[in-house]
Amino acid sequence: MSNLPDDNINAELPTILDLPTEILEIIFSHLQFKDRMSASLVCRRWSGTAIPLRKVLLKIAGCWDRSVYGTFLASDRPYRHLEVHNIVSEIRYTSKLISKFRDSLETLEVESVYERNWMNELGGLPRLQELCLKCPLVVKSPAAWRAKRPCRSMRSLTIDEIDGSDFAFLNAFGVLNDRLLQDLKALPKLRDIKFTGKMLDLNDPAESATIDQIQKVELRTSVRIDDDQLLQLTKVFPAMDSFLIGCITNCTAAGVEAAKKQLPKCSFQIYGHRAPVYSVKTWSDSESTDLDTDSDSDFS
Amino acid sequence: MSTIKLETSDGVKFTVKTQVAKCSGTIRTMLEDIGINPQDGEAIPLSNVHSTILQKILVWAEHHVDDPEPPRDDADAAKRTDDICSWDEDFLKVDQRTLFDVMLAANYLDMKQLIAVCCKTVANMIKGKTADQIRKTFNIENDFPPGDEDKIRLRNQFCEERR
Repeated sequence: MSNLPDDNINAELPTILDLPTEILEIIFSHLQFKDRMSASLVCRRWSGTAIPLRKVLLKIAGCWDRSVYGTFLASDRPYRHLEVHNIVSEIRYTSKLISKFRDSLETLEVESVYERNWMNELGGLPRLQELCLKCPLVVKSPAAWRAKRPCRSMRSLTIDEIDGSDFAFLNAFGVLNDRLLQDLKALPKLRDIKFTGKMLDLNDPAESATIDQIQKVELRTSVRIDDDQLLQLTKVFPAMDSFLIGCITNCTAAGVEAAKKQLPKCSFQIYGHRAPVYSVKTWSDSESTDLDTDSDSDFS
Repeated sequence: MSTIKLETSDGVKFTVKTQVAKCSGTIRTMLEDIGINPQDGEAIPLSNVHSTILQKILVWAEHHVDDPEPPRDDADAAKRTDDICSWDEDFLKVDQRTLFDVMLAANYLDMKQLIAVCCKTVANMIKGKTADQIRKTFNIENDFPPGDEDKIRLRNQFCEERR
């Protein structure tokens, strides 16, 4: 055997850059997020491989530096998860960001954005699965009214701080109708819904629809519901298998029993029962704040 | 004990226990599916593997030939890098060139367990380092156009790991 083989191997000189992408991905999969961040700064190829976008949450909170927005609006990364809090409104960055990533967005949370038009961008996001809205603002947007573009892939919806009697803006992903429950019908994959802040208006006869795709309902509203409303909720969401009320109610034990009878397979978790505001325990330490007459046999 | 012959890219022939050779998914497929008959005495050509590397890989395969199949889809175990056995640790105390040659060959030969332990080793070499230190460690050239690295650094400041 000659020396040729060794010469050949020298000529090849494999380095880490010769590894195929699927091997690199295995290597990066062993790294914590922080190390992946460092790896993404090493070279161009690694910047595209080190951070899997399905794991990245782009979170812009209270940022007043416009160059930051410029950077993301020029980015070639299709971010999937976006959270926007308290950002400058006059340049409509929220609208622009949603629009920029509209084809890739899977989760979106918008909190305290006092911008008028971003809700127009909510319609028809093709991959959106989770939407969380925490904006004390109701916008009646003619564009949204015309849009009629539901986000059909949506699985989870959280609504906070919105005037319970007027969900018109939600038409951006619903049908041309100013009733939330009607709009929810246009979201066939929706499984979880959470109301914090305000409560939907159950007293309106137009709301007496049934929404039968939703399995999990959570209420943390500032409005106290009573026995009638509790029962009505079980009729509006007949497919519920989990119903959590994490706020003060005016419900009686008998009212809760009636609701349970209506949905025997549903697990009810009700906290803050008929307690005065100042003595109600918070969610985290409320394990024992259940009904005065009820056992916790139904608690999961 | 049945054996087969393997021929490397540089024309060296190895006689290997069939069981050991079957650590390689590629060779296993050749024997079982394509029906190459090892009794013919004809060597299986491994045109992408050099003899020095095959020799090393066969040492590894010989040592691990009786290992049980690893559990599948164990996300926690997959994340860990501190579970490399000391034999493998010593085995992989080689220069980077050899390490990456072994990885490329293991990839060609479809040896998942060897790839896994090599990847963990490389991950351990990256952990806790800055981008600059990683470049130095692996002799990687910074090929970002001017300003791009800063842009990515800025971008990363707003990225968190999704819960």
